[in-house]
Amino acid sequence: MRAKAEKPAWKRRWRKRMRDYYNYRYAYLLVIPGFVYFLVFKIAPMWGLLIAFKDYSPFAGFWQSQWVGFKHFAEFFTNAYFYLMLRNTLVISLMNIVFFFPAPIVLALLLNEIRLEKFKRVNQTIVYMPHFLSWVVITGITFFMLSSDVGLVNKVIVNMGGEPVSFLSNPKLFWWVLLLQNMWKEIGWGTIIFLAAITQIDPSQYEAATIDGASRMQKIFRITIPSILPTIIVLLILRLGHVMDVGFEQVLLMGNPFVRDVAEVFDTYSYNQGINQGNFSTAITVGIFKSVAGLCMVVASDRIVKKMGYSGIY
Amino acid sequence: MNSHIRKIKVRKAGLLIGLCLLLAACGTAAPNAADNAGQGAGAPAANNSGTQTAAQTSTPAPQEPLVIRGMANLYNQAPAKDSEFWKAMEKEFHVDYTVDWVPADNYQQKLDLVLASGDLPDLMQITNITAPSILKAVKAGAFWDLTPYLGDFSKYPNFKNYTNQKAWILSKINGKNYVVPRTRGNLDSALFIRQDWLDKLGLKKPTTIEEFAEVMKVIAKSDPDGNGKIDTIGLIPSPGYFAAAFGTRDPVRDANGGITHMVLTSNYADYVEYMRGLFEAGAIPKEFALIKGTQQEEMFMTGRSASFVKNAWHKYRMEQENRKTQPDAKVTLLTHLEGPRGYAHIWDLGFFGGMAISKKVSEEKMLRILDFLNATADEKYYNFVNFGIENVHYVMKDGFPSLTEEGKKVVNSSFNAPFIFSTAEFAKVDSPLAPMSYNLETREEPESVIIN
Amino acid sequence: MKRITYGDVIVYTAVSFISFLCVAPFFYIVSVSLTDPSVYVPFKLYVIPEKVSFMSYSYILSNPNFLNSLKNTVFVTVVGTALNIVFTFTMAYGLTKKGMPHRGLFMGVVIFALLFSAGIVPHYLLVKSMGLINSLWSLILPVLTNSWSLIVAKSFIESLPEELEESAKIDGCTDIGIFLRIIVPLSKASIATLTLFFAVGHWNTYFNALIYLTDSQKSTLQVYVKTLLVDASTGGAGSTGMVDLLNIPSETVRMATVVLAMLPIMAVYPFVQRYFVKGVMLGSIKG
Repeated sequence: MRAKAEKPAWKRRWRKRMRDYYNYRYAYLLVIPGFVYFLVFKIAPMWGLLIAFKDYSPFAGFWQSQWVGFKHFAEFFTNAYFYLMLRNTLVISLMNIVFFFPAPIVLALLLNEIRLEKFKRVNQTIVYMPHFLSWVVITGITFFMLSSDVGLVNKVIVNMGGEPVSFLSNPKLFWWVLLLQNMWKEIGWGTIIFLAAITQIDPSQYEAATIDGASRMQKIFRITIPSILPTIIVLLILRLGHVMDVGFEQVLLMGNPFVRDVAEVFDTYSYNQGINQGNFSTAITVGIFKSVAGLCMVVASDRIVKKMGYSGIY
Repeated sequence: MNSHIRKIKVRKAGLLIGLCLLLAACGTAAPNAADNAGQGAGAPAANNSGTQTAAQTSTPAPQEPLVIRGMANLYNQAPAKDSEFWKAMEKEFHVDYTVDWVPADNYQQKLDLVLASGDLPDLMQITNITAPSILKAVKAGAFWDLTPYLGDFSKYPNFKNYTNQKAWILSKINGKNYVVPRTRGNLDSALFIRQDWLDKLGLKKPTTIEEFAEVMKVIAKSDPDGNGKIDTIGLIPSPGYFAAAFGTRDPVRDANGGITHMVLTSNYADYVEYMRGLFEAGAIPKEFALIKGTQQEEMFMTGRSASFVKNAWHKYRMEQENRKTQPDAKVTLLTHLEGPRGYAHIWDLGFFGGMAISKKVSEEKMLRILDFLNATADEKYYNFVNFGIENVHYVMKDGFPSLTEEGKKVVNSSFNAPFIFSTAEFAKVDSPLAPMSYNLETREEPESVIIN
Repeated sequence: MKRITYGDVIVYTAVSFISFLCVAPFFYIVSVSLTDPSVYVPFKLYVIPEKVSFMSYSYILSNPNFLNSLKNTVFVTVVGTALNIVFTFTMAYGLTKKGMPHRGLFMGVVIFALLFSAGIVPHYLLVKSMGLINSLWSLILPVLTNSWSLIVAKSFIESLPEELEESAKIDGCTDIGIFLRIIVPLSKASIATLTLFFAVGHWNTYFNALIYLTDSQKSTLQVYVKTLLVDASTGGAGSTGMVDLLNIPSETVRMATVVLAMLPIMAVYPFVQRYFVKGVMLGSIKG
């Protein structure tokens, strides 16, 4: 390492820095508009997070509301139902990640294997239709199907000589009902992004594989899946960032007195506090908790993924 | 080289933190501005962006129409500002009234946000005066305290003569009148039952809750709709209504003289016992808690359940709907079943929320708004505010307004939302769909309640 | 000639089955929406309408508010989505430049925004302070882009072969030139995908429209649709004995609104599908 006697070290770094700025000037041009958006609309409102440390009263405003430090957090963590909500939230979320997350991938792969173009197109369109239904409608349909008093499914079961199954009031089945609802609604829509990723695969790879005598399954596992793996990983990490989010509207609508123990999640608690009790501070407190948990998951998973040799989201 | 990298990292982190602090400082300046606007009381309302009305003057000349910006609940299609009805209303009362219509489901949420922004409309409908955010807002001085101005109502004869006086007492917050209550009669909810089924099964119309329970059990075990299946539901518990028969509507004091919540009293426990008996006898469906409001209604309307609790005026519609599948259907009201410590009935509060005037308007404007509210509360305007313009939207038949074709298209229950109007005792009993004779008959049933 | 393999059978059966499950409830929805309200009975299973009537649809469409709200929604969707794509892809491409100074700061902000949200109140105050209350732009500007889309777009761009960029640089192309002439044309699939996501997002906006728009002339489709259904759901909790129509918005109207709200955006997908073409060098589709 030759020491440069003429120029001081900091000046050298400054020169390099200026050169970098110049080299990347267009990149900055491209980034700045979006970045300004983020600063204005996402970062600036973050003062709202401080509401969690106050006893916020809407009309009185931010400065008039009393400062209460960590009181809301303490109340939240010592709440009798905290562990219950934690358990419910985590179970629902993890079930989603384990069962639901791979489903659109599988369906995308299946769709990709279809040779008849028309058949593929028609099915693609059909399969994402449920995404457009609101949870209100889906809950109605679910009730129509699964109610033990008037439900279609139970009518069939009874006709075949069985006893009606209380799908909707049995706490043990609640989580599964939620999962199936979610899968039905989103599986089609979820394939879109994977199909897009598949289209970016160079077809000549498949040609070469055919020449080498590869079977269909081999092509899927050796070409298709590895090619879309970066997309899968990015989506997985993004999903983990919202590990504490469980589809608030769905759980709220499907909840009923029978399944309260398994249906109470952080979001429903926060909703009750915020809307029904006018307690904004608690809502923000819960939000911060969820966000911090999500942050830990993102950082951790990004690191793991990088160690495995893939590029993360950073 | 490592220390070099570390220094860069430290500098980066410092830059990041500095930037965040800077933004936070800028950000906190924003709520400051909003708060100041909110706290200014008595000063002429700032011309906030987004208002559709002309700039509000602080001292409108008496000849100029009173400009009001409002916010009210929406159940369906809102009357447009340039519609016949609205223009006629504005002319009659000499106002320029613009309303922000908010769907009922989300009204409370938007209300809270509006309060948070400090940018209140001049006149706001408050649906739930006990909501914590409202109470907090009152404490923070968001609304005019109307008590001294109302006084003994000598200046507001319509309020005194045509509205439910109890409502003025019951709608006080912290002992003062902050809202002008939207009053209505005390008769509202009733218990519907399928009279034709009672007749078919040879059952007497029940007058006590024990008799009612017996009737329900019998119905649940038989097949009154004749479809070959024992699947008829007796009832779906409507909390509060039946519980009243056990005395739950009387306040129960605890050791310190405070009031115990209804659900914690022994009266309520008796009510639960009663319901449990019905549940075990099969009169209540197994998954009753799943069946939400509209579905309960649909079950009664399609002849799947024998009884139902709702506003009395739905009786006509219920009958018509049932007649689609069972032409002999007849629905009657069981207005008050006798119980051990009371009657199964809810004597309505007498008002449905109220209207509050923002403290940001000047005193003079506030008084003019009160005058406006008083004006619309005159009895002679009741039909106007509820049914529209006579001979355009409705005609009088047998002394009762009946909607015309035009009226049926345009008029709905949102019409009266931004107004205060006089109280009609049987407003919730008469059905505008039914002929007047039917309504008169229906009126007789709950009338006995008043006598009691 | 094409042989039908066992694999084919499995694939076609599985896909058909899933499709059937997805579409089955729609038979009910569509047939109820076409059923004459006077004969409709709740809880009955309809596969085909008992008595066809377009009354529910005409009830919705004949209202002048419907066309108005449709106009507003279309405006927001078209303008909003266009801006979304521009802001998202420019920033995403810029962020793929790993050597850019302060890149860490930018990414940090993006990830922070992904995970932390300040809640409704500060956003409402911000929109108010910008004078956007009751303007349709309140539905466009606050959502110009979002972290999730950014990261996905960035990931797609990064999956493009690096050699293309390098060879363009050697030819003397500037960054912006590369972006416009190489990246964008090659990103058709991801641009199409995100266009779809953004468009659907704008189309379905309900809550933001609810709180930011005060003039019923400015309301959007979903808000309008909700007003048709509120009465039915709260059981007409209005004050005096008012009833809207001969047939109160019943299930038939509710189903009709579901269909109407879905149709337009579903029609967009087939157009977008065009861009889901395999590979850069489009060869013929192999059997």
